[in-house]
Amino acid sequence: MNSYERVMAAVRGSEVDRRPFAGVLSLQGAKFTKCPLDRYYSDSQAYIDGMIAVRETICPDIVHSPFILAAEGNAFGSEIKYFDEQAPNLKTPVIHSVSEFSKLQTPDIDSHPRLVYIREAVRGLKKKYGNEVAVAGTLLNPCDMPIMLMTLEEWLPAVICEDEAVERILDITVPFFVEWANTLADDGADFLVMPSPFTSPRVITHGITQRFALPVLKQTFSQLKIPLVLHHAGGQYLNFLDIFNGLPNLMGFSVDHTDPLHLCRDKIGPDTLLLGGIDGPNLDTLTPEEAYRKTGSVLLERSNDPYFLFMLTGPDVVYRTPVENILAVRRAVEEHRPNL
Amino acid sequence: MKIQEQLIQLIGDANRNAARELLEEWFKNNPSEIFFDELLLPVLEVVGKRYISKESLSLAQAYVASKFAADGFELFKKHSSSQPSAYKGHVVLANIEDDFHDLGRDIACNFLEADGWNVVNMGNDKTAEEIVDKAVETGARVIGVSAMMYTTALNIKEVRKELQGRGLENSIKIAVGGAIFAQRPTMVDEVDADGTCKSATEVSQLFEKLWELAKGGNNE
Repeated sequence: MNSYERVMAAVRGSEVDRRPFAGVLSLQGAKFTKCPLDRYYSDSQAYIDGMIAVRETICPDIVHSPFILAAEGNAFGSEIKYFDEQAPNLKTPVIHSVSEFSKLQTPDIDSHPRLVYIREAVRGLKKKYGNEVAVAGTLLNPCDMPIMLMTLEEWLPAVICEDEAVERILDITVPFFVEWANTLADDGADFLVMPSPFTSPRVITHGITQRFALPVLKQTFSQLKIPLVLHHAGGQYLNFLDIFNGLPNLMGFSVDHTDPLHLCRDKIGPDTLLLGGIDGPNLDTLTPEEAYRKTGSVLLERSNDPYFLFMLTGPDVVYRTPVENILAVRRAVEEHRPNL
Repeated sequence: MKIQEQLIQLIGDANRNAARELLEEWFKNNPSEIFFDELLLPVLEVVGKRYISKESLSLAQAYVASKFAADGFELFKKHSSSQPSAYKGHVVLANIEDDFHDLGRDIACNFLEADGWNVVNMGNDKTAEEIVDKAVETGARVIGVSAMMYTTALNIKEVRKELQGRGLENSIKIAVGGAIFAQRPTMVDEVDADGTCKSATEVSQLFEKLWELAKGGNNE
């Protein structure tokens, strides 16, 4: 069974030889290829080479497009800042308040450098791995995209106060989101992964999510060509799983390491893919033995769950993480036999 | 339903508009002098206990709670000729160099100001030198430094170094906040800070504790 087959079997709840294993490992690729991050996150071939190095060293079952939360914002004109050891992030938003919606210009998916970079990364990974390794395209949830256009500080109050301009913003970003998501599908992504830093219990309430986010997500997800995973983006997700469960084209949920997996399973039902595991960004604080043991505990708990995929939770596994720690997790996954 | 309970419910619902309307109505019908003791502090105390105990205070709820405090403070100043009786001293808050995520810092500033602190809100992307300069200039004994991400949070180490270099580390304390400190429990020690709190509603208590520690330190 190859990696692609293993992941798709978990999506269907079919028998697997072992659990699929994944994580946000972009920074490890830069480390393995000794590529400076400003080049890694702007040169698609550098990124592809990094993901190939990750695959050869760590052998995850999923490779993914660059995990840059500010990517779509950058495409709309927001300035991003590069760092030495983490993915680029928003520095200066393109607009300074929700009322400036008329200043937004939808980027050209075929020519904007940021979008072309990501598309070439997806195409390159698909060309390399075909149906051997699953390729995930990452993009922000459409309700979250505006935080990279104007900052969370402007978007949150506008959503809370039901500012009329919120709809004007969504009139621009939602069509872009659909076109962008479907373009990544056409470029070869097998499924989409959607980090949700804004539409999460850490930021908004259950009531705001039902009033504001749910109608938008229902409308947009129904237009997608490939399935998607909603990703918790580093915060707890349990309390929102019931709201989002059953959305069109929803393949599964990637939850936080602090979300009790048995409760997550109760909320999403028995046959939706659940992606969970141990804390990715803090993996560097463990010894390899601790990483191995914690991974084993998670796998044991989910041993009878056919729709489970082990995933290092959260955003990027940090640059400084010793490869031995990641390999210890990998070893635990390889040695565990699910009871299916 | 008593107004306190109504406000607690509205904060829980993150309904800022209705909370503001209720406050304005209250100030029309009540003497402003009783605002802090009979409305602001009891409401914030319950919000803190109710939501923090469940570890489920969302940013939206914290935002609305802080706006309730800020709106109330603004309405108090409008309706009253006196200033709030408590004066707890100057404190300096800033986002560390390279960090531009200011919502949490602004929320903390609102709570601190409403609780009687004289807040100097420096904004985003401030160097350790700039922050310590401001603390010295204002006589602040507590510096609050915010960062959202791991890499930018590491810059906070420079604040400790700056204080040490000037012989001030016993008389000025460092409070830290931001998403990374909740996600990574070791972060407070990694940046050599003196403390953090789980929620912005606890920020004034944290600053009081650190202020007392600083008072016991060497004077510059």
